[in-house]
Amino acid sequence: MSQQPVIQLDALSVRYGRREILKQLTGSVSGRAIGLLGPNGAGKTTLLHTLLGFLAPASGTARLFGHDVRTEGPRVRELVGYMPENDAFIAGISGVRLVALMAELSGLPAEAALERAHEALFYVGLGEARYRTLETYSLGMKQLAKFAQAIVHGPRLLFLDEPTNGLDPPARTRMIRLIQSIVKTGKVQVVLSSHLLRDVEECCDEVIVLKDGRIVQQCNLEEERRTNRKLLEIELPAGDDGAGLVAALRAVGCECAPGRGRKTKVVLPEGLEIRDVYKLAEERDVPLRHLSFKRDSLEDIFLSAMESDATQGVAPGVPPSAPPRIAAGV
Amino acid sequence: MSVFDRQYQVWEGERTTPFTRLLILPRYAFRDIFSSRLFTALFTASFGPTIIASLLIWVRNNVSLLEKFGLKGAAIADLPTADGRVFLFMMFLQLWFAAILTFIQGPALVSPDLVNGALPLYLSRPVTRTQYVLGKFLVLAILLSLITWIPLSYLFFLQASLAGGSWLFENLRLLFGIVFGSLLAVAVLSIAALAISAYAKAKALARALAAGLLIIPSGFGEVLNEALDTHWGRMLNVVASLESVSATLLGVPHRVELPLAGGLASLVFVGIVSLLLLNRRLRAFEVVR
Repeated sequence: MSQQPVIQLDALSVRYGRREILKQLTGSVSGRAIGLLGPNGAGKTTLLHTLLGFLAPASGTARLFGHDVRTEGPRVRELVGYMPENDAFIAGISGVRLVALMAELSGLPAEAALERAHEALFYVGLGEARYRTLETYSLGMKQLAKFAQAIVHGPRLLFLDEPTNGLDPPARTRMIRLIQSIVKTGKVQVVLSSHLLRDVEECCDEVIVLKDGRIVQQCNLEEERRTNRKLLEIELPAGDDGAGLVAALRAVGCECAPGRGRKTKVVLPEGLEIRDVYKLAEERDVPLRHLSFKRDSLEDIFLSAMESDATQGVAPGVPPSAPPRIAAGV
Repeated sequence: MSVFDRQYQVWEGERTTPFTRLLILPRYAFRDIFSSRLFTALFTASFGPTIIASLLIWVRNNVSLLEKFGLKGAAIADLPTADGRVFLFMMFLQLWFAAILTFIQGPALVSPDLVNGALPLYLSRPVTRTQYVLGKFLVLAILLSLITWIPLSYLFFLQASLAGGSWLFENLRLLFGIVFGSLLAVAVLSIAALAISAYAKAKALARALAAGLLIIPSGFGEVLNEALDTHWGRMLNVVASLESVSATLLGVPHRVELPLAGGLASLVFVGIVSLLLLNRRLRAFEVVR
C-alpha cells in the first residue's frame, strides 16, 4: 500500500445553515484502517458526507488520494465504497440486483457487475439469500448487503459508518471479522466511523477522535500498542524487600511510580526486557505477586481526548496534546 | 474475485462512460415496471389506436380497395384524410394513455428511494443528483415516447408514403407539431410525476396529489376567467395549455382561447417548479435542524 495520504484536510469547515458542524479540520491520515471516533453529534458522519461530496465545505479543502472532493467528486466516488449508517436499500429488488446495480453505477460493465455482485454477496456470507428481496432480509443481513454493495466495485477506500449498529453479538463478530479480513488483504483502506471503541480497537491501526466538530486526538494505535509493551504494573510485598527492588529497577534505568495498594508502575528503558525484571527480583529473592502490561487502552485515549480541550492542526500520527497515559510521577 | 476463494479484489478493468450510465436506471426500472400485469396490459392497449389508425390510413389511400366497396371518385375524395385535425385527435388520445401510465408508474419512481434511504447509495457512486433525476426522468420519457411521438411519426410517414407526391413536404409542419408537442407533453408529465413522487411517500397519496394538481388549478382558472372576464385563467389548466400549443403547432383551430405563448409559458412554469421541488427534496441525507 502506498504511503500517499488517504485523506488530507486543510482548514475544512462545514456548515448546516448557520451552524458550523466541522471547524477548521486540518490533518492527514494514511493508515490501512482509520477509526473515526467521537460521541454522537461530534461530526463523524458529516465528515464522511463531506468527503463523499454530499456536503460542500464552507471553507478549506478535503482531498482523497490527492483528489479534491469538491472539484473532482465523480472521480473521488469511483475510488470509494460507502456503507451508510441508516437503513438503505431499493424496494422490491433482490440482493444480487441491488449490488449489481450499484456496481454498474460505479462504472463496471453489466456482465462484470453481475458477476462481481454474486461474488461480493458470497464474500459477505449472503450467497444463499442473494435472490431474496431486500425487504425480507433481517437487520444483520441488510447490514451485510450494504457492505457488499460498498465493496462490489473494488474501491480503494471504504467508508463504513457505524457498521455494527443494531447487530446482535454473533452478527457483530461476523461484521468485525469481515472488516478485519478486508483490511488484511492490503488492497483497500478503511475508514470506520463508530462510537463503539471496541469496534475501532479491533479493526483500526490509526484513530481520529472528533469532539464538537474538531479533531481532539489523532494517534497511531500500532505505535501506542508497541509503546505500551514497555509499561508494567508489578505488585510487591510490603517492607524493605519491595523498596529494594524498586531501587534496583531505578538503578538500571527504570522509571517507577507508586500505584494503588502495593502496586508499582514501571516504565522499562530501551534494551531492558521483562525477563530482566524477573532476574532482579530473583537476585533479591523478592516475590513478584503480580506483573502485567499496563496497556493504555483506546478507552483511556478516548476519555482523555474528551476531557482535553479541542486541538487543531494535528500533525499526522502525533497526538496533539499528549494526554496523561499513566498516573503522574512516572 | 472468484467465488471459491472469496478474496477481495480491486476492479482494474475498463469503466463505462458517464453517458452510458444514464441508461442503467431505466434498464433496471423497466424490468420492474413490466412485471406489473396491469401496466403491461395498458401499455399494450395504448398501441391499439395506432394500429387502427394505420389500417384506416392504408384503406383511405387504397383506391382500388375503396372501389371494391362501391365508392367512386368524388365519394372517395370526400372521405376524411389524415390532416392536422386527425393528428391532433390521435395525439391527445395517445397523451391520455400517457397520462394514465404516468399515473400508475410515476409515484413509484422516486418515493421508494426516499422512504428506504437509497439516495446515499446512488449518490455515493460517480452519479450526480442531476444524473439521478435524468435517469429517473428517462424511465418515463422513454416509455411515454414509445406511445406518443414515435407511433404518431410512424403514422405520418405511413400517410406520406401512401399519399406520395409532395404530401410529405407540404405537411412537414405536422411532423414538427407531432414531435415537438408530444415531447413537450412527455417532458412535463415526466418531470411533474417525479416531483410529486418525491414529495408524496405513499403511492395513493401521490396519485391523489397528481389528480388534485390537475383539477384544482383548472377550476381556479375557470373561476378567474369568469370573475375577471378574461381567458388567461386557462394558463392554470395544463391540458388546455397543451391543447393550445399542439393545435397551434399543427395549424388546427382550437377551442382554447389561449395563445401559443401563454400555453408554452404555462408548461414551462410547471416544468421549472417541478425541477425546483426536486432540487429541494433530493438530497443524499436529510438535515435535521
